[in-house]
Amino acid sequence: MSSIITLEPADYMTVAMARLIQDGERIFHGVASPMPAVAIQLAKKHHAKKAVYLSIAGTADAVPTEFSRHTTAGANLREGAVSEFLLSDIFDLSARGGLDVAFLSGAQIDEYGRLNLSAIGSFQQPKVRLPGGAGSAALLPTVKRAILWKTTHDTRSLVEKLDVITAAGNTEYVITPLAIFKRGKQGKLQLYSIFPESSFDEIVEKTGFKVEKHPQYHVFEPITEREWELLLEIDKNGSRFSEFR
Amino acid sequence: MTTVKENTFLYGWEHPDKMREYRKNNKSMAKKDKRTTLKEAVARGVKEGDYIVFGGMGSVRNPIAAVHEIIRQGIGNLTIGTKGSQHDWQLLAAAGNVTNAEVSYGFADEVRGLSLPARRAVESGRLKVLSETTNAAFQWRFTAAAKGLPFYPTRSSLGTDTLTYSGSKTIIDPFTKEPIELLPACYPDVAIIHVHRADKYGNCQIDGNIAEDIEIAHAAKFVIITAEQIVPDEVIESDPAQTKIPYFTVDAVVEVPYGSHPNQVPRLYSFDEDHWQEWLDASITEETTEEYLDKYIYSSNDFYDYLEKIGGVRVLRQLENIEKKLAPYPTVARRRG
Repeated sequence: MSSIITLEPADYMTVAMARLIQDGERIFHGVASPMPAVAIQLAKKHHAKKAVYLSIAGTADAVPTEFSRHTTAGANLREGAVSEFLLSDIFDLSARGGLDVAFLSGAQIDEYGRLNLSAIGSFQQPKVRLPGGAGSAALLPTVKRAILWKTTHDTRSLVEKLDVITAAGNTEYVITPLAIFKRGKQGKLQLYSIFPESSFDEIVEKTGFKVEKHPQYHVFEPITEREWELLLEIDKNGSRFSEFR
Repeated sequence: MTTVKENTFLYGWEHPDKMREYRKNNKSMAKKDKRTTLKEAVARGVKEGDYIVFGGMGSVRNPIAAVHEIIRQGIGNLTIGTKGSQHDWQLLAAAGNVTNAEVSYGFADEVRGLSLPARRAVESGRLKVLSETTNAAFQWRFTAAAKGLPFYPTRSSLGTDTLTYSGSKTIIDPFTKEPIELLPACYPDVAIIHVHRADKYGNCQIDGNIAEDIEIAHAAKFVIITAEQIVPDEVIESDPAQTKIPYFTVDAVVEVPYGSHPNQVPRLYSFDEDHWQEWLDASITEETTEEYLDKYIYSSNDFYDYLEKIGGVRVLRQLENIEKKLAPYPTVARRRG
């Protein structure tokens, strides 16, 4: 990687997501998921050619030629698909044990990788009413491994206690602009890797739950030339930045 | 059978036999010309206090024209099943027509951010979130209704507040001897679905993602179809495999070109980002939200009137060109302030 380019958190996060995808896996993302959408194509072009792409746009194995910055449920995500595969099919696939990876996010994530997408404050009288859990409470417990992401890393988003437990289940990784957590002993998230611009102390300070290093803790491998080329080629519109203001 | 979890959050449920009786007495399955005006269809189909669901997925193919008409007619105290719908029900919430919602995904506009008017309505107590549910649960609740069943069993949401705040019951499954969640069937009073094309009888063709539109058409007591185009019978007959909703589920058919504006109808027209920006800016305060509703909805005679106000043919043709990739995609509208 050339050192002249300033990499953004979205670059690290997208590459990190791609690297966690294994060849042959069936992978799903929902709405408002620009980084996972790009990451899946990156993985497919890089090391996971036989990964199967399932999206909320309702098809299997689409090969989008373009990613928009305005929607991740649009018709562009249906280009080149081989089959209709609706959201309802994805829930069924997951329920019967055929979905390998789901990318999910939430307003709050706790140390068990559980999600709050419902409310800040109480459910009945919320201080902030959140979007709603969408498919997360159905997918998180049934998918083999969930990769969560958060575009902010602070004590408000990575919390000790969720205000509402919208979804719980098989969270394996959590990716933030600063780091990657992986589920470890007693089902708790542990620090798996740190992105170059951050530090262990910063992670501890900005995380609401207790931070321990995962046995597989390592320094995040620099983005390779090949990954960078593919990232720019796949995401020429910069849709990966659209979740960041 | 042991019931582990009882509930107090049951909405949209009916006894299957009561629904059979309802259909027998109220639902004509005759093949007849069902074309009407949006004004008449809404006046006939949507009543004070109804439970409504909208077709489409996310910000795609939403029946916005019908929403405008409900707002104009001032039909209130509505309950919305927000199975993934956004701008449609958020406009109703902003205008005060909605007092209750069952929520799966409803308070955000995807990458554009959280929806302020719907949030304000909840946070101030004007709008009550009756229960939380998942997209899957809605799908299966409509499926149960479409199949004439009282519930749909699933192993999915156990151990979450989504289950706690839902209409589901948990029992011990007699086969596995393990807990299983029973989702109550959901029979909406009204389903409003915007489609690419329909014939005058209500045979509907949808291009691209059909979401849960088939299930809600079969589950709902009253089905309003708004179509971009009413086509001659031969168009449907020449490609019946493309017909997703058959006429005998449909109660009213209305031709509404650009009926999803400012949202997208795949292959026909794209999002109107300029109008989205105007809405996002207007929705920041109660006063400017009210001004928006006045300007575009209350003071419009119908949706054609609205389409003139947003720029008429010039703007609409541009949105078609963007969708066909004959024009570049404009700057994406974002929440400011």
